[in-house]
Amino acid sequence: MDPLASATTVADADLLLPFAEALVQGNVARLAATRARLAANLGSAALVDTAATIAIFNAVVKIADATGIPIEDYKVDLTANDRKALGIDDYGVPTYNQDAMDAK
Amino acid sequence: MTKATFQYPESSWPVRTDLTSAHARAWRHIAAPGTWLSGRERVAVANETRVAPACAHCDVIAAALSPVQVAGQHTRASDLPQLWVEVIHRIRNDAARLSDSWYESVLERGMTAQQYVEIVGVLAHIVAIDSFTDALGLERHKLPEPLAGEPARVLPAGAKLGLARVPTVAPEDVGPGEADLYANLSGANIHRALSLVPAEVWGFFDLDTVMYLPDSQLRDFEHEFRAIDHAQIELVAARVSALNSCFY
Repeated sequence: MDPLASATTVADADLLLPFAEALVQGNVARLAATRARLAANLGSAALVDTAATIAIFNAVVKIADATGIPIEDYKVDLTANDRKALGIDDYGVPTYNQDAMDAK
Repeated sequence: MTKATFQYPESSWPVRTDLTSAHARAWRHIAAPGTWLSGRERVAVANETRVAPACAHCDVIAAALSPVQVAGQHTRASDLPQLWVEVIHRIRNDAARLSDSWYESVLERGMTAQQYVEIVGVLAHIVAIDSFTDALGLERHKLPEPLAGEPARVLPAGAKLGLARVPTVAPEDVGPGEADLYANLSGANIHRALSLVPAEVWGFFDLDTVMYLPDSQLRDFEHEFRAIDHAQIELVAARVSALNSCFY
């Protein structure tokens, strides 16, 4: 099972995530296999709606990264407790900076 | 463009009619003269977006520590200016490593911010629809024939720098004589991203509300609107964002 799928309680993650991964990674063989498995288990309507979700977010990320929009403050605030509970904040604020990398 | 290009085959998966209609509208939107780009330029941007994943130079860039360390020419499929080709290929193939300094260099080399935003808009439309057909194992749609006419060349009066690397229009800065840029949208940052070219906001989020969910349904957890539920939709969306190294 996909390790990420086993780490979530969301239903059918083991069918949804491999399909999304295959599409984004351009793995044609895996895409066909995961598509067939998803359709066989959840039905063709679920397949279509999953494909639509993957596809639109594959585009949304291009808009976000190309324009450089930041995440909204309220979303940062909403995840504060989760980040604290998971210890993510112990790793500090992300400091990756492509401008700095490009200047090297 | 003929309507027939958007008849998803009945023998394939049961594509919802609202999806088919939205994709057909997007195709017409791409073909028509835009705000700063002609119909011919918009279709050329769409074509260049399609071929970019096969660009050998982009593979070299992707393997480099920094994209600016790599010299060379992109494998192109259009007669668009070289700078436009670079912009399209970088956004299509390496968007997570775009930087403010690279964007500034694009402006210094002659592209306007509004041209850049419109290119992003066209590219996003194509990526969304091609990703959909690819996911379902369907043949990609033939690109539309460009429509004649002049770009509208209308700049929103309230556009400002500050939120992003491109100028954007805050909901409170939509002018009294201007069409409602954020009708049925919350005005979240992702809605504002393309707002320097309002037609791209309307075009892309016309797709988004059908392929994802309308804003009014995003937090309506009492009802489900798709064949997968809210949690499943958000899980898939988050995974796609992570795979693209996008942290928005």
